[in-house]
Amino acid sequence: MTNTHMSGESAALAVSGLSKSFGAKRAVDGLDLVIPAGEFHALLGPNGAGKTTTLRMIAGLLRPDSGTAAIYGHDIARSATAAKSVTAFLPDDPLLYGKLTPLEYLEFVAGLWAVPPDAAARRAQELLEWLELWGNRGEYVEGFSRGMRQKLALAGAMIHEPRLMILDEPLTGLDARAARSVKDMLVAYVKKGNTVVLTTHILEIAERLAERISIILGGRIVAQGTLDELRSRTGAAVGPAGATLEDVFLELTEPA
Amino acid sequence: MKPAPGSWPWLFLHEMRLSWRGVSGSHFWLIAIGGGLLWFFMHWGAWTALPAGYPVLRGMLAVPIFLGGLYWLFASLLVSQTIVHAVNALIVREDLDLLLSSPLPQRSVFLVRGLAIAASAALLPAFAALPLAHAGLLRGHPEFLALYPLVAATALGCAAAGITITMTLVRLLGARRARTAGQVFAAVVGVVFFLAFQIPNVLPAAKRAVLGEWLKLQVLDNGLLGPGSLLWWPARAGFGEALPLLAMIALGAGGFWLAVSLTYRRFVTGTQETITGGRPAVRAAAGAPVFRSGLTRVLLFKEWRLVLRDMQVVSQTLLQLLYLVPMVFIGFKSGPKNLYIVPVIVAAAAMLAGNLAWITVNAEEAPELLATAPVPVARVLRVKAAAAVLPVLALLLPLALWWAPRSPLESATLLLCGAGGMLSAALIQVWSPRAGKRGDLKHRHKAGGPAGMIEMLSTIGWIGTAVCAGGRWEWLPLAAGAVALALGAAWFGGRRARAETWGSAAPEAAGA
Repeated sequence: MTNTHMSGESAALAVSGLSKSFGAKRAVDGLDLVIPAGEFHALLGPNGAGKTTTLRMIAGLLRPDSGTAAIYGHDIARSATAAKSVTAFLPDDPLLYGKLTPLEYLEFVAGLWAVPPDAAARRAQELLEWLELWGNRGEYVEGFSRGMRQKLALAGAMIHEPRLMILDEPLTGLDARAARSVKDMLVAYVKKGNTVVLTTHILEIAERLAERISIILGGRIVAQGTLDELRSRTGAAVGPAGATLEDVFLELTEPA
Repeated sequence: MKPAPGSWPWLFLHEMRLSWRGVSGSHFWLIAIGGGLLWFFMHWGAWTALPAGYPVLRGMLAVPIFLGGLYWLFASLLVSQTIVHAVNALIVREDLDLLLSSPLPQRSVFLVRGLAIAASAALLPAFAALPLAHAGLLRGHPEFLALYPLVAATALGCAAAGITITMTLVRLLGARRARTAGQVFAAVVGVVFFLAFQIPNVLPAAKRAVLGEWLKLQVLDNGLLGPGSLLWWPARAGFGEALPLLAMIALGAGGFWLAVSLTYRRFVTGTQETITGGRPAVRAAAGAPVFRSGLTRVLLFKEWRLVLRDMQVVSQTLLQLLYLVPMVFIGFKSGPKNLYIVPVIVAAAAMLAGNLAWITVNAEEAPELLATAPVPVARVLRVKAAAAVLPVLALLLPLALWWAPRSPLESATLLLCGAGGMLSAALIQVWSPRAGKRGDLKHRHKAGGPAGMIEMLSTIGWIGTAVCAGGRWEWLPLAAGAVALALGAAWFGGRRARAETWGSAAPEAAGA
């Protein structure tokens, strides 16, 4: 199913006919997806459904076999620099520089996105304080725990204030307190008019945060809409007392 | 009969199986057939040469400095090898948490790891020495069978030394730092004999003569290095002399037992430190952050910081140059007119720049971050290549300037060929990329695909060009051709690798 109520020009993300194969395996199969600016969108699917491949193509890390992806009207293939300058991508297992300190890492990321040094320094301090890493700002990243690394990668994704954030399993490894602050931050970030596309296997997160949800299976979007719209598709009761996203997800992704 | 699961022989077999997994597939058969043939010819050679060679060998024993010196040189290389094995087996290996959380006694785990280190150390001496033992038996010299216990004792002794040094480093520095320090120490042990043998070359003639006289006195009957010296007992043990052989067995086996007994508790605590990650390295940082501006500056500083802070990388890069130090000394003594000095420095500069370029280009730790940044890949790669070349150029430039008034041609040759060698080495890494880990720097020529060979060809070409500039201009087309061939091979052969490594981030731009 495709959301066609919006033109690609005004969308934060407009994907059309995106396909990618690895050898004989078709990982993404003519995927269409339009996400309006200012939306919190969850992309859900079972393991191997094509979520990560889709996100990596949108982020410019993988070249699609066919199809297009545009970020705020900038085609990721033809206007890569313009598209990337408003985007942040956080992979599921972000790789950081072990021998840099958090401040040095953020300085480097800010340099890549050409953030003015003074603004970057101010923003870095804000982000590290908010993520409770300011006390660790002088330590090498190699000594950090999984959760601390994830928080630093998130700070790196946010330092240039992107308009679109693509997050692949962003809450992996975070403790309850850190996960709560990240969720609050993402909600506040979307309220400012920015866009978040997120994948997660923790369906409660998608249920609580996402305005619309896309369910991907076999490299295609098989269902899309608000939680109530998805409930309606499966014939479940709508509203707060309706079926959970987990029930709906299992129903929609049940093998034929 | 298979050993009982959970017993130490069972664990030892598991260790051996893991060791052999490293040479599996087609390499296994290549090594097995090639090694088998070589060993056969070594047997044949020993069997043929022994009748005439035995008196010569006995004669060497009378002037023991050759055989004994050879033994200790070889033993030092084995200790260097066992330190590397000990670091891997006792600190790095990722199955330690599984083994130590199992009901197996921790001492058994440590003992088996130690025996596996000794078994690895025994491989090369066994390969080299045992054909003589077998040939000796067939030729009526069964005393050469003493080589069997001598090889075992040597391997156990070297393993003991490697384990003791590694565990002492763990005690002094902690597991995390000991890992790097062990690798540095191993490399130093590996080159120390080489450097020691070069000492006479760098001494003035008068002092060299004095040293020669002193050495002559020491190898006489009553000298420190005379035939009766304990230092040469390993050679006498190899000839089957009972007392030296027993002493060597006692030294090897006893040393191993002592090393295991004294260090296994440190192994347990050190391993726990490794598994839990230990305390993070803390560096001082105060006040608000001050950031630099400009992509080039930020990228250059990031690359240089990462290289300078990684002791493993620094040691592996700089220790390679240690082998060249004595030759550079000779060159300085004889001035820039010396035939060797310019080519040697060109080789060193190209090697160093190649290593640094491999680190900055191929061992990038966060390639996804760079690929998603709004910066052309070609620009990033140019800065990365510059990060590799600039520090070496900074080392080269003062020397070239110092030579310039004395010998303009040599100075220009040094600058041109040095810069050419460095740039070519960096470009080859950019044009023929293959992603690797920083820790694999030492083995980059083996694991890096054709780029390693291409880089070697380019360096040889630049060395050749430097030699030609010394007056052998007729060979210049050949040297320049080698460089051109290497760069062409890197560019055309690396098209696919560029596309795979840099993906959709403008793969052809990477070569721009």
